[in-house]
Amino acid sequence: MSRNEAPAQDLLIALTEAWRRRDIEALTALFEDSPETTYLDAGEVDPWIGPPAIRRGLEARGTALDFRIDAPRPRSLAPDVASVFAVVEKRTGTPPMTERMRVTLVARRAAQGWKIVHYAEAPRAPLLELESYYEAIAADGLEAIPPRPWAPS
Amino acid sequence: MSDAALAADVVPLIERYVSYSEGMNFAGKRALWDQDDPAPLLMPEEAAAPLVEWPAIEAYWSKSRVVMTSLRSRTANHRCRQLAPDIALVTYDLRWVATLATAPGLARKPIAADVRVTALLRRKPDGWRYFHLMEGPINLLGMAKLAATRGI
Repeated sequence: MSRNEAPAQDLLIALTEAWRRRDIEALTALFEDSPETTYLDAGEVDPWIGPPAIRRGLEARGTALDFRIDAPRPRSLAPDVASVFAVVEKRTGTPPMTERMRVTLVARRAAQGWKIVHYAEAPRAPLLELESYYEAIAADGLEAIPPRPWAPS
Repeated sequence: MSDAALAADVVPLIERYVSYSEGMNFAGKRALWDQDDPAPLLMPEEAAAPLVEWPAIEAYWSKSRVVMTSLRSRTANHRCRQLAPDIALVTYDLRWVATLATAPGLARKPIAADVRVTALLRRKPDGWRYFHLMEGPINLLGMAKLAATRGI
């Protein structure tokens, strides 16, 4: 697929690459300079609306150690509008935590080129994530209580 | 079309769409999707993978009738942007209230949550129609914080 066929996917890749470098200037430059541009972060109830709020939100985030983009579904919606849906795995923090989420990115071509007009992260329902955690512990087995350094052997 | 004019068109459609949750009228919901789109995408918050094309979406809706005994939804905080003459981006908050199916004689309390919806709609001769709908709950850490603020 050529770059022109998937501008929104290219922007998603650029977003993850800028995150890896924690390059706030590069990150914010990917978004349309409009007060209507929106960013829905997986951990926040409210969207970041407009470039100043998006910059503040991105600056407040820690370093993303790694990203993996799975099964991207780019679509051309109009001559100057495109979208991509993908499953994104993000690894952050110390110790590293992995968060898997679904992403919709919508882009529009403006004078400065293709820019993100909307980015949304959608984790799986927390109720099911918690259930998966309990199931993972059950799968470890009854005897798999982790040894603790403070416990006498 | 201004965003306000777009909202005047689209918000009633969204409200109609979620009203079909009551009674789980999925035929009604389907009628508000673009029937000509070759790859409609629905990403429910609880689904493991996106539902793409009608067989997957219909199968999900059929299963919903089995796992829930009731479902109601409302929306608020709509933001509408027209990105092209026939393409609209709409975001809104959706609260669902559901009672999960259980063994006969065992009552369950309803559960509910708010999700942030990202919707893409296409203008068709009979009005705006969905072709992409993603439900975005807050993540587990965020939910834990919300629970703590409620003293739960």
